Amino acid sequence: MTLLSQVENPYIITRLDADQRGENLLECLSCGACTSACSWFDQEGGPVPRLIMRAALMGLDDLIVQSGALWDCLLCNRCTQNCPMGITMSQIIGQGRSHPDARDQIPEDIQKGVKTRLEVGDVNGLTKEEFVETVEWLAEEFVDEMDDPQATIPYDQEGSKFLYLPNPRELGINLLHLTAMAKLFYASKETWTLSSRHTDVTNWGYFINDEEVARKMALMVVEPAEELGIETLVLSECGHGYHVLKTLTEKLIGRKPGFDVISIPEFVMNYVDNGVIKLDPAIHPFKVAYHDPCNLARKSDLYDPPRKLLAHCCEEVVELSPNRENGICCGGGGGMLQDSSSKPKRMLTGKAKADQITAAGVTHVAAPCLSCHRQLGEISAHFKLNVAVDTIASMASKCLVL
Amino acid sequence: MNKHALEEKTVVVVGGGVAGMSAARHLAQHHINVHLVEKSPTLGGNASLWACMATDTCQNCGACLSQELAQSVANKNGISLHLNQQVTAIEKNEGSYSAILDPDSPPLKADHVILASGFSAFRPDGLLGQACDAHPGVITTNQLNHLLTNQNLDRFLTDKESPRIAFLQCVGSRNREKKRDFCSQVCCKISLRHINKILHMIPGADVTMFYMDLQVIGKEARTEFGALKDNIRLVQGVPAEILKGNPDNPLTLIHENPDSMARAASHFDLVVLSVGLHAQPGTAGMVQGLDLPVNDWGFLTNGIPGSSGQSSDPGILVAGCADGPKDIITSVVEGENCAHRIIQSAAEASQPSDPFPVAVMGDGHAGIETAHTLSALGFDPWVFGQGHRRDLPATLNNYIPDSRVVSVTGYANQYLLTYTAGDEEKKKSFSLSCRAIILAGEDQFLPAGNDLGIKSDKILSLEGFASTLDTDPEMIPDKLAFWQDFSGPESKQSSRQLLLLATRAAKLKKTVTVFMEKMLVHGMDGQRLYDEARKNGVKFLRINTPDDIQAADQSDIIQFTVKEVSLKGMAVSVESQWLILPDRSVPDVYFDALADLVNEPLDREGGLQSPNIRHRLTGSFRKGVFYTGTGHDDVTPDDVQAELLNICARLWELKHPQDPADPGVVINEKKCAKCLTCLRVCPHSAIRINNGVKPAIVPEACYACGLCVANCPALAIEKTDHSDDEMIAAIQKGQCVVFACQRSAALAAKTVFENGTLGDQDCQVIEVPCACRISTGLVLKSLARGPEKVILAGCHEGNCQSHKGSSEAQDVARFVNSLPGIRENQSVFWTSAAANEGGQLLNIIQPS
Ligand code: SF4
Ligand code: SF4
Ligand code: SF4
Ligand code: SF4
Ligand code: SF4
Repeated sequence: MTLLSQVENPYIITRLDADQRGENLLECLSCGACTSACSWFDQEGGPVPRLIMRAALMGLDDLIVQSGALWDCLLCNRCTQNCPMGITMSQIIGQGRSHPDARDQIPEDIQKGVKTRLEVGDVNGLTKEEFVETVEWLAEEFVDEMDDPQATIPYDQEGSKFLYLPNPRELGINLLHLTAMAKLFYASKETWTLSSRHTDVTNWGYFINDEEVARKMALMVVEPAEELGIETLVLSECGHGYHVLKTLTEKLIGRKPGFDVISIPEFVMNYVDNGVIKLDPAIHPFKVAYHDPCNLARKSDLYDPPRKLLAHCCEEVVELSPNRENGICCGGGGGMLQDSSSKPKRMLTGKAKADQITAAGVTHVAAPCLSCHRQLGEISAHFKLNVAVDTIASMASKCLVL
Repeated sequence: MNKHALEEKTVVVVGGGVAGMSAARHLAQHHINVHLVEKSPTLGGNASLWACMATDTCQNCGACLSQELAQSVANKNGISLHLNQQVTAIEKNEGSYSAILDPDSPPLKADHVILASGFSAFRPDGLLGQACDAHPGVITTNQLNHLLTNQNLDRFLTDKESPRIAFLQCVGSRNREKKRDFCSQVCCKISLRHINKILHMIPGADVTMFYMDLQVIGKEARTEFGALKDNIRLVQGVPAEILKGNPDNPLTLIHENPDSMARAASHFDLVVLSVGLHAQPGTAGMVQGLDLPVNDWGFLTNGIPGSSGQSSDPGILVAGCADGPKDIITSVVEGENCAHRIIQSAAEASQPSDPFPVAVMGDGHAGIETAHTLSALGFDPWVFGQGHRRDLPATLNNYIPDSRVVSVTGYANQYLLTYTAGDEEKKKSFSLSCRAIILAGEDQFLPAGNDLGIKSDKILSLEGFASTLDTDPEMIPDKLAFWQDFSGPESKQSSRQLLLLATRAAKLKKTVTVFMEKMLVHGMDGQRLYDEARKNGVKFLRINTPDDIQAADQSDIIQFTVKEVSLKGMAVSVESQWLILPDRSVPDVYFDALADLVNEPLDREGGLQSPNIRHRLTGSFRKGVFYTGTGHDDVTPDDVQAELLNICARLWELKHPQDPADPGVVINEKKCAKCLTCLRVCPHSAIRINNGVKPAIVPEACYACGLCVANCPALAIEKTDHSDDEMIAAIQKGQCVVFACQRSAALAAKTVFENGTLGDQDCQVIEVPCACRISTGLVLKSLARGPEKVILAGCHEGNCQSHKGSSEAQDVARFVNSLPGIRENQSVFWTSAAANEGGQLLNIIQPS
């Protein structure tokens, strides 16, 4: 029988603010609801949510640190969704991940990414010169494609109404995606810009729960955006990026940023609503299942605009069951997707999603998050689901009637 | 008493469930005009939809009382029924009220309003992930009741031999996020009864119960749970999601693996959601114009604990679940209590003050409270001490601390107690004539045993700790441990006290740990106390059995090793300087003798009072004998107040008898052989002996059950309303004859007659006051008329108002069947059927 000792001033619970919503671990009823809803479902391994909560409450940090759960957890808060006391797993795991004894568990890729981002400004190490070169080249192509000399992919345009914050992949392996987004802005007939000073919507400080890092990364976005004097920051389709910039920034930097934050599907939907952007759903003459990214949906309350937009881009939106606040994680959350060694694990966590897609009987799935997009693509291949995966904004771009 | 004062009164009762019906019945008995408003087309409320939980014996759920109440309310003079009507608002003008109705009818004017609008069962639509809304295998307790009443459960389980059934507790309760952070109080007990019933019907059933804290509380609940727990799987932790599977494993729940620290999946054929009791949505709106507080959950609240029935408006009373979840029998009693408050206030002025001595047995908390309450209301209590208290207030003049009651004779309104009192040497005999007896026995609270090897100066009782906290808080060390169920099942009162003390200590910045097998939150205030304790940092560690904790006394600290339930295969060490243990509550040693004295049974746990639902909460088989205090139930001081109100209501009946008591049973002196069989058999001690030899029936005590009629060997006892011959006169050849108890089977039969399933020509139902009235002679006489068969039908064992009616009738059936010459096809059957078991009875009458 292993005997565990409660440490004095245990790290995790001591760092929680008992009066703060979601951090009220003391009030855990030990009801077990969390365990039953974990995105790992009945797969081997993975976290046992109640155990984590109870161990943290009892001051048994070592048990948590040694359990491996810290980086198995998807930070999806599916467990939290069912918690009668609203205790938030991502907060608890977050504190665990930043535990001094757990530092060495941070996946190598994530450590590297954090370092590069802090040094260079982009998680993939894209320098300012490379950015400018890439964007200017893309802009030339864009003029041709649009057959309109006015069509641009502007950057560092002060006083633009919108600033678009891309995902690093849009400036690396997936340049076409950036062009597709540019097309959407073009169709909106609004002034918009990119910024050469911040090219990255991600904030991996959130994954490692290092507040200092997360704060720095948030400021890397906020300050240049404020200097450009934009009204609204439009985020690329990125779950955790949205969650951090939309819901955590104020707490991280200690003030409200001087602009609004929306995601690109919301942006497009606004212009569809006011009649400026026109979409032709016949471009995708099939039914598409909508996947709720945990970070957008459950964790940031964004449910309807991307769905509404998807409905304008295909024959019919199919709801996966369960969905919305009860939606199932794609299996790549919490930094797992960002860790290239995690593939075998992600094919366990992705099983429930795969089953869900199979049950829906669809050929297409769409998600407003590039991480989910990648994970969904991988599970489709792994489980031979034969479904095509896309993002919402990218589908919208294809449906544009110009 | 001024009957006019009452006849001039009008009361609107909102809600035709058990509480409302009980209030209406009681008011009408006292000639008060009643408007009973019910929103649905029938009376009965939620309880009428519940299935009978009886197995071989009644489980005392109380559901069948709703049929009986509905029957008596529907036929009662002075009650105007307003069915299909909803009260939308209550207006107050100068001391009187009007209830506004929907659909529109003239408002009902009244002097008082009783709000008995009940609860609404939680509907978990879409709550639990995929399966809940659509899957036929996921049902609520209500749907399970429906399946049981309609005898459809088997079919539903597609005849599986050992169906896997899961019960999920606390669905819709105890959830702060969903703004329903109260314990619904009754659902644990309901599920345990359901499980018991299912195991009885399907012995192979594989039942798992997922719970948060099992509220095993109430009369005989521990015994019932004890008998059940080894036949089911108990899992602490309630899954919040049900996953759909394949035809072999239709439903899956994920939970903690009980043996390892991992998640595990279990498969089920049926999942029952034990849904909580929520406020009736209309209640809050109804009282909007009045000054009645409604709490966050939509229940009425007056903030006065133990004030059964009162609201903050003196003209408005609240009965049943309108102010929070309660069980059926408590709701019935509250209805009666509300009615009594009105009757009492109306009659107050004209109250004559002739002496009304009442013997109170017991000088613990309940005894003293009883004495105070009774004297305040003009009764004359005599307290017979059991050595609990000696420091009684001087206002109680009739207190005999060291008494021994030697005998109790007589009957309601005329009891005679003989007792001895005084010092050992100078003991003298006395006697007291009194009109009622209240058994206010208290459990013994013994210091918890200390077999942990801890030095006794580190172990405190709750009381001891409380007094240190009051007087010497600086004496209290930094680390404290409480052990909630150390002394066996804890009482409701001690868990409340423990939570309060642990919270106070935590507020003094002490490190407080509570070990527990479960927390008895039981109700709304209990959950609040528990929440408050956790919020203040009290840590609750859960164990499965007491063996999960080892303690080592190490000079200045106690080192505990605790196998917390979430740490499978591991243990956590906890240090504390003091260990605080609740006392052990056990039935007191004198209960046996006390029950004997009044000729009343004990319950299965050695507590006072039978669990028979017909006489609970405070009554007995014997009119004029009542119970209160921890000796008969797990009560808190607040509960005792409510019990006392109920006792006072019944004493009031004794003091102001409504109709001249005429049970219609007389002993024909000429025929009487003076064998005293009647004296021996009467279950209600209603036979008195005149002149040393002549038995006579005491009308005030007689329940008119007819057992003496059936048993008198000289056939000297006659029931004036129904002779044997009158009863059987209508029997026709070839008919099926059912002798049916008026409180159970006859009501059940009515439901099948009413819905046309059964016609008069098929079946002759003969109502009897109690199954014990069905004598051998009566059966033989009826057989002589050539019926197809004769069915004797009465209450389930344990449910009979007259104690043994069912077993008496069973004996008669057995005996008649053993007689030579009883033809095979004309034999006599016994069956038990509760008032809510029309379908089951029909199956016996006409087997399909
Ligand atoms: S956050 Fe998601 S993966 Fe982590 S424990 Fe909760 S449900 Fe499981
Ligand atoms: S769901 Fe919430 S209250 Fe229940 S055990 Fe998990 S953390 Fe505790
Ligand atoms: S007989 Fe009545 S009280 Fe007894 S279990 Fe059946 S319904 Fe409940
Ligand atoms: S009685 Fe309380 S603990 Fe039991 S199921 Fe109901 S709400 Fe839960
Ligand atoms: S009818 Fe019943 S209660 Fe009345 S005297 Fe006879 S046996 Fe007793």
